[in-house]
Amino acid sequence: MKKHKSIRASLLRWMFGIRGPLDERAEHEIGRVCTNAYIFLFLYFMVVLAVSLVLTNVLNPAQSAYLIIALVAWGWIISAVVVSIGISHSGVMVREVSSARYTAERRKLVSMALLERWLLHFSTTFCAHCHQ
Amino acid sequence: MNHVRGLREQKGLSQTALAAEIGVARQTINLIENNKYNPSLDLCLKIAWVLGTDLNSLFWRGKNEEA
Repeated sequence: MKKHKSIRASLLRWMFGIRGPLDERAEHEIGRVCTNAYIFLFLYFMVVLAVSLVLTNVLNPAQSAYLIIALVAWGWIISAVVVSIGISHSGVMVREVSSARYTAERRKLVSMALLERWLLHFSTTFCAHCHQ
Repeated sequence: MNHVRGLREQKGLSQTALAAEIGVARQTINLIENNKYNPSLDLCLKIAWVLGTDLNSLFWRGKNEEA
């Protein structure tokens, strides 16, 4: 049970970028933001279902399938953005460091950001080469 | 309303020390002290235990406050 709890906590910390301890306020904020995103997704998919009913009568199957998949993907993208903005506004991602450690931590974060940027660039270039 | 800040300062604890003792983030203690977050009963009991007091002396609700 304890292991299950720690795995859940680790996953939550990783997914939402929580730096400090995963306390009840952090879980409360995550719950609030995710509930908002869920309500948005629910209403959005109701609209998408209604639109898809119309589309299947108007367009040919390939076109309507493409549009429906695109609409579903947009729903997920918008909800992911809503969650990201909500979590960052709630302040649970804030990392506090002492003034003595500030420069070192800043250097570390910049290095990590540059490494991630390079990895993203490398992976996209590699994928583009593979598709040619 | 609460007496967390006063009792914490009486005990000579910083927000970081109290947070570490209870196992929450420092921001959570700050929000509780400024009445911007309502902690759970479990967290209230932990705070009261660390500060060596009881819930009645730590938290109260004023007459004009909304339920």
